[in-house]
Amino acid sequence: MELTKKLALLEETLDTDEGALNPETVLDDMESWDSLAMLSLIAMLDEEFGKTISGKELKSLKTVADILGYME
Amino acid sequence: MKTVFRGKRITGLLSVLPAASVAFEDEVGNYTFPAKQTLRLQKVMGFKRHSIVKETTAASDLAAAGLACLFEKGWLRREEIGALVVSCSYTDHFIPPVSSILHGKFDLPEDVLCADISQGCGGFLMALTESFLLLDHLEPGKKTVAIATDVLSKRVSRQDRNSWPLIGDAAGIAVVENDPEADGIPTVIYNNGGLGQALMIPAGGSRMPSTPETARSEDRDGDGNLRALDNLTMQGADVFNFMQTKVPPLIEETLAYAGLTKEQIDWYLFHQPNRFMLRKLAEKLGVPYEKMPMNVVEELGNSSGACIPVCAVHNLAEELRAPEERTCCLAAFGSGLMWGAMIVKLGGMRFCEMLTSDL
Repeated sequence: MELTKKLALLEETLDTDEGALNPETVLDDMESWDSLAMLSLIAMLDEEFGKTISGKELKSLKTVADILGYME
Repeated sequence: MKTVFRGKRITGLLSVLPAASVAFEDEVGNYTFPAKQTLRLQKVMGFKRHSIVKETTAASDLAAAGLACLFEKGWLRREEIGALVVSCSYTDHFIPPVSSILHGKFDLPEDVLCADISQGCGGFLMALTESFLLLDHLEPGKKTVAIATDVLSKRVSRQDRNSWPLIGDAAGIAVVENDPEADGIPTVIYNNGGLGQALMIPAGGSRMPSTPETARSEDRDGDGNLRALDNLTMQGADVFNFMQTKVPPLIEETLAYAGLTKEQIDWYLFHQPNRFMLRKLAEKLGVPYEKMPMNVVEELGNSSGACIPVCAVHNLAEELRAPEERTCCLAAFGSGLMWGAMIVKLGGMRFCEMLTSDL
């Protein structure tokens, strides 16, 4: 999946505006990065990439690039 | 455990709700989060209201209101009861058990076996399992009463947005009887105690007795939710992962064991964590949303072990009183962590009712 597609999917998952995210975006700076966003991310990674991400791994995510690492 | 219970039938269901119902909008100010963010949570999870007991209400009170109703309506007679199995996690006292308290309150015969099970989300399934086993050892004609009752709202912090908006209080009561004509009930139950800390109440037991320190509310996980060690804590992400990984294969396995296809199941009556998680489960299983009621949390709250009977009565009361039987897949998952499923024919019930009590 191309980077632009991944970012678009992530924007939809995290309920942010189109084009709002880039790999350097800091998650804690986003108002919508909360427990609900984390559940949505778990669901998306499972559905789209067959990946499981633990609560501990979720807490260690700092930037959008960290999430992109799981989207393979 | 993987087994088929034979010759057993659930002949009646009664669920009991407290009268007070609190609207989500009225609690937005409880939390440390911006209102806009909290309202977004409401939209996705579907939170509307939840039914909460009064300060003075204990777990046995909800069950007692239900039993009183059964006796009064003539749906159950005291002398028919052979065993009383109660699942509850926040009991009235450590001693005596809730089943004994109920036994005393209704002056039941002395030969009634009383047993408590300390279970959370899996409470109803575990109480049914115990009831089926006990029925093989009771005098002919005797019935077991399987109860799941809890008042966990009293152990959840009102400033914990992970758990407070979804918690509810309720009791579910099933009357279970021997019936040689009944279809077998394929049942599969798993446990993984190593994951237990994902859902726990850390303090208040013998490991960590309650003290002023354990009652102090603070942001313990650095996520903006305030709670004390005396409160229920849920690692939402881990619980969701667990559910998403374990429940679909469990359902597939139980169906295969029963020799049924997904289409042959009329109703998927699952534990009710929230609409978001149930939708994801339905999607993963390839089951239409319409076959899996998921409106309990948003309208009544997640009453832990009582969720399955509450869900059945809230959505299917009339249908389950009608003579035709429906093939139902019951599934529970949560504290323990446990996950289990049971395929059972439900229908032709003597009673299938919701009781709202001023408790």
